[in-house]
Amino acid sequence: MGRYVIQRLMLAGVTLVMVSVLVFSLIRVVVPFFYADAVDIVAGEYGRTDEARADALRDEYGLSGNLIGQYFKWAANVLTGDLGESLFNGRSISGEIRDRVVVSFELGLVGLVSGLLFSVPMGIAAAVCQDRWPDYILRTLAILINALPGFWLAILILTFGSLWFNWAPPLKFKYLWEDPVQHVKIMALPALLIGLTPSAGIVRIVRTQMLEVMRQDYIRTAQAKGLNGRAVIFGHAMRNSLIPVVTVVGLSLPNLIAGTAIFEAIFVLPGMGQYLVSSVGNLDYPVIMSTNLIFAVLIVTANLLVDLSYPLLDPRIRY
Amino acid sequence: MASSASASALEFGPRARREYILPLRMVLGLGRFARRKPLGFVGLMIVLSLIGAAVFAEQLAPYDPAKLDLKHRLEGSTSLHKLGTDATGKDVLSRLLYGARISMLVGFGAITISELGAVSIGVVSGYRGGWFDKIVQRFVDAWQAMPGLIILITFLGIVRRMPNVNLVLAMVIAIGVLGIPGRSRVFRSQVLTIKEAPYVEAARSMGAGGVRIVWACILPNVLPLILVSATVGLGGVILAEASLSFLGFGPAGEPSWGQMLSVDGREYMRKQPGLAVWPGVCIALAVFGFNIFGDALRDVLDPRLRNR
Repeated sequence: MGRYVIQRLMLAGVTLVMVSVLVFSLIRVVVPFFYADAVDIVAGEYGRTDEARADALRDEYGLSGNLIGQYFKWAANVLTGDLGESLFNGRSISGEIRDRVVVSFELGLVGLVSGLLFSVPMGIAAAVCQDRWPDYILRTLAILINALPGFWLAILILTFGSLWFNWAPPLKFKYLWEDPVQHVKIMALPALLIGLTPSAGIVRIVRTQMLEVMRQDYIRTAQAKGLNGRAVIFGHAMRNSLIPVVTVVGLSLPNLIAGTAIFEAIFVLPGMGQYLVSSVGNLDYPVIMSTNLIFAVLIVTANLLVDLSYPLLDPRIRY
Repeated sequence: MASSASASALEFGPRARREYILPLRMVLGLGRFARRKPLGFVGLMIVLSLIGAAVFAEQLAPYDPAKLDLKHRLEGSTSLHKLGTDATGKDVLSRLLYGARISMLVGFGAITISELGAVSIGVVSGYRGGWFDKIVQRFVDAWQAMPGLIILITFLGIVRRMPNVNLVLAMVIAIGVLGIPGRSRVFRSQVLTIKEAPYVEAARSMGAGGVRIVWACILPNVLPLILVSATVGLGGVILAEASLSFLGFGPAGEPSWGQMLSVDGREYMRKQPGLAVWPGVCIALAVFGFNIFGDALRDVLDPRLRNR
C-alpha cells in the first residue's frame, strides 16, 4: 500500500511537470517566436517601441536570461504561491484564482454528486428489472443523454424557458455567503446539467456490473439463507458493483472539469473556465499559464483521490 | 464469420464464387448486419447520410451558406428557407449541410491521428515489454491525465492569432494528439494477450523477426479493435469540435454546428427558436449515430466479446 501511494504521488508529480513544461514552452517559446511575447503585447498598448523600456519590462516579467533559468524561476514562484500579475489589469492572479476556484469546484462537485445520485439508483433499477419495460426505458434514456451535448440542453432550457415561461436565471452573480437564495438560483441549473452527461455512462456501467454481481455465488448464498431481496441488493450486490463506477468517475473527471468552462461561459459565472477563456481571448500570458496549471492540479488531485480510494472500497485489492 | 468464409472457399459451384465477388459480399454482409443489429444499422445509416451531406454539401445546399438575404432575416420555416434564416438572413439548412463538412473533416482527421498514434505506441510498448513498456506507460498515464479541453482552448486560442494558420488543421492535430494515450492502452492490452498465442510462438520458432510478427500476426488481430475504437471515438471527437466552436475557438468564417449555437446568437434564438434547435439536433444525431453504430460494430468485431 505504501509503495502504491508513493508511486501514484510520483505519477501525479510527473503529470504536473509535463503540463507545466508544455504550457511554459507554448507561451514562452512558441508564441513569442511566431507571434509576440508579453512585452510586445503590453508595449503594443502604448503604441511605440522603446527598446530600453522593453528590456526593463522583460526583466520585470522574468523574461530575461536563458529559458531553463526562466522556467525554474517561474516554477519556484509558482511553488511559493506567487502566480504573478495579469498583464492587463495588474491584479494578483493568486487572489483572482482563489475567488474563482470556489465557483468551479462547487459546480463540478455538485454536478458530480447529483449525477451519481441520479444514475446509481437508475442503474440498479435497470439491472433489477432486467429486460422488462423499466430497463428498456432507462437504457434508451441513457443512450439519448449520452448523445445530447450538455451545452445544447442548457441553451434549449434558456431559450424556451424565457420564451414560454418568461423565466431566466438571475444575471448578477452572488456568492453563497452573500446571498444564498440567489446563489442557488444561479448555480442549480448549470450544476445539474454538468452532472447529466457523465451520468449516462454511469447508468450503463452500474447496470452491467449489477447484472454480473447478481450472478455470483455469494449472492445465491445470500438468497439461499433467506435474506429478502432488498437486503441482497443493497447489502451484498450494490457495494461490489460500485467499484468500477469509481473508475468511470475518475475517467470522466477531466471532462467534468472542462465542462465547467463551457457552462461558465453560458451562464456567465465567474469561475476558472471563464477566466481561462477570457485570458486566452486577450493573450494575458501569465493568466493563461496559471489557469492551465491550476486545472492540471485539480484533475491530478482528483485522479489521485480516485486511485487511492480503490483499496479502501475493495478489500480484495492489495498493493 | 471467418470460419464460414474459409469453409465456402473449399466448396465448388455458385456459392463459392459468390463469396469472392467483393461488392456482393459487402452487400450480403450489410444485410446480415442489418438483421442482427437493427439499431446499429440505423446508426450506420445516420453516419452515411452525414458523410453524404458533408461530401455533397455544394450540390445539396439550396443557397450559398454565406449569402446574406436581408429581406428575410430571422424567419421560421418558409418555402424559400426550409429551416428558416439567421440574424443576417443566411439560410440555416445550407449552413447545417456545410457544417457537416467541418464536423466530418475534424472528426475523421483527428481520429486518424489518434488511432495511428495509439496503435504505434500500444503495439510497440506491448510487444517490447520490459523497462521500455514501463516508462512508456508512465508517460501515457501522465499524458492521459492532462486536462484535454483546457489545453485545446489554450492552444487554439493562441494559434488563431498567428497569421497563415490553417485552423481546421490545427484543430485536427490538437484533438488527435490528445486522443492518443487513452486508446493506446486498449491496443497494448490486446497485444499482450496476442503475443502469448501459440501461432506467434510458431512464427518465432520458424525464425520470424519482430517486425514480421507485428505485421503478420499482431496487426491483423488489432485491426477490428481499431475500427471499433475509431467509430466509438468519432462521436466524442465531433462533440469536442462542437464544444470548441461553441466557445468561439473553432475555424472562423466557415459554418459549423457548434458555432451556430454560440453565445453571440443567444438574443436571436428568442426571436427564432429554430436557431437554437437545428444545430443541436445535428450534433446529437451525429454523436448518437456514431455511438450506436460503434456499439454494434464492437459486438460483431471485438474478439473479446465474440464468444459471449
